[in-house]
Amino acid sequence: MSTINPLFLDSTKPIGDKSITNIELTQIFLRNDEALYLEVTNQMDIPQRFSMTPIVTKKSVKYHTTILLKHQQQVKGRFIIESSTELLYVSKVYEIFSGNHLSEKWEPCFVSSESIIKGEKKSPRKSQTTKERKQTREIKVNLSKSLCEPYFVEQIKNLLEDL
Amino acid sequence: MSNIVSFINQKGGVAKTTTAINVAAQWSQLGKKILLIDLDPQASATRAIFGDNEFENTIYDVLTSEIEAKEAVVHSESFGIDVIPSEIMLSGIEIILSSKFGRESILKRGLAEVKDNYDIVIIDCSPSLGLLTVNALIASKDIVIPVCPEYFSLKGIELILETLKNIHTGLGHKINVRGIIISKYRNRRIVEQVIQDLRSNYSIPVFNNYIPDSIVVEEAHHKHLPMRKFSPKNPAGLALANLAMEMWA
Repeated sequence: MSTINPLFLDSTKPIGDKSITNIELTQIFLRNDEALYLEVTNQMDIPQRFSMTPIVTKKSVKYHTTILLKHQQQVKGRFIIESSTELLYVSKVYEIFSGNHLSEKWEPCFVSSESIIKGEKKSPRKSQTTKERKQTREIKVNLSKSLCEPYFVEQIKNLLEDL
Repeated sequence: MSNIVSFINQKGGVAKTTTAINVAAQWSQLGKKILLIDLDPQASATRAIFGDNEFENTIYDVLTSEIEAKEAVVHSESFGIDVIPSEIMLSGIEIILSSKFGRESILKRGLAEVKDNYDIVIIDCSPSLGLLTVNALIASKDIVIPVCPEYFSLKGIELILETLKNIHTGLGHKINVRGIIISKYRNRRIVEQVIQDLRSNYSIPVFNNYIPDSIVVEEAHHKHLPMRKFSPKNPAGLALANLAMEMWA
């Protein structure tokens, strides 16, 4: 059985029935207790997380991960920043195609709905009138509208209505 | 000759850089537009041409996709060529590139936009076999192999030919060996013997202009001048000029 020098292996060719797909995120700064993940959701809506590692070059720090996707597979992915205790930020959703290289800048993002709920619990408020509650809800919905995908706005609306 | 040619030998000290920069300078004098890429982390070509000048943008930044190749190009008035310089940071680039999709053709993609602006792009390779050298070979259609007429250099040719075969098999890229350059020779009789061995063992042409060993070549490096300016009538200078004409034919 001959050994093949990996230097001469074509990195663009599939490994079995899967292809390497590189995902890179630039212009992002993490604090010591924060970690960056790529959350990928396949056609069955099953999420999977991949840790992103920093690559330090002369001019920048980029975060990078490699995933294996089936030939011509297309999935959705988003970037997530978590601290040790909670989910902090999420990005918009990206389309990821098998065998491609995705390089994105960290977009200004919103704090996740879980953090909004926790924030409300921390700061005690006077009880609001119905009109005031409606205004608060509208402000929050408008804020998140400028930053996120429509389906997420719906989720936040539903959560606020439940409150 | 194709548009991109690499000067390559996995053995160090065989005058790859000397022949690359001087042949480039000679072609420039013939009116050709030349781009020299220093792909050696030791940055020998960069130092020989520019001295101790530091550059903000180098081939490292091109390969890490921080900038486009045209942003790293600097012009050398004394050599009459454009250069993409190197730096020591290049020594760590294989770790960055190793997991990248299409890692073997990053240089080729990086040069795609600039190569048509030049008559010839010369790549001065590092004396090692790694991802940088593979990138140089994938980017090139032709290579030339400088050798000293001694045992270890000749063994280097076997390694190069094995590498070319592996690249053809594994990466589907065929590279043409334009020829072998005999450099730094001291004894004419030994040179003739080496050439005979080369011709009987390998079917690679050997350029007829051999470059003699000369301290004047080192002095030219110190002055950051090509031999055609520093000492054009020196036997090594004449041989380099004639070699450039022979290679261009």
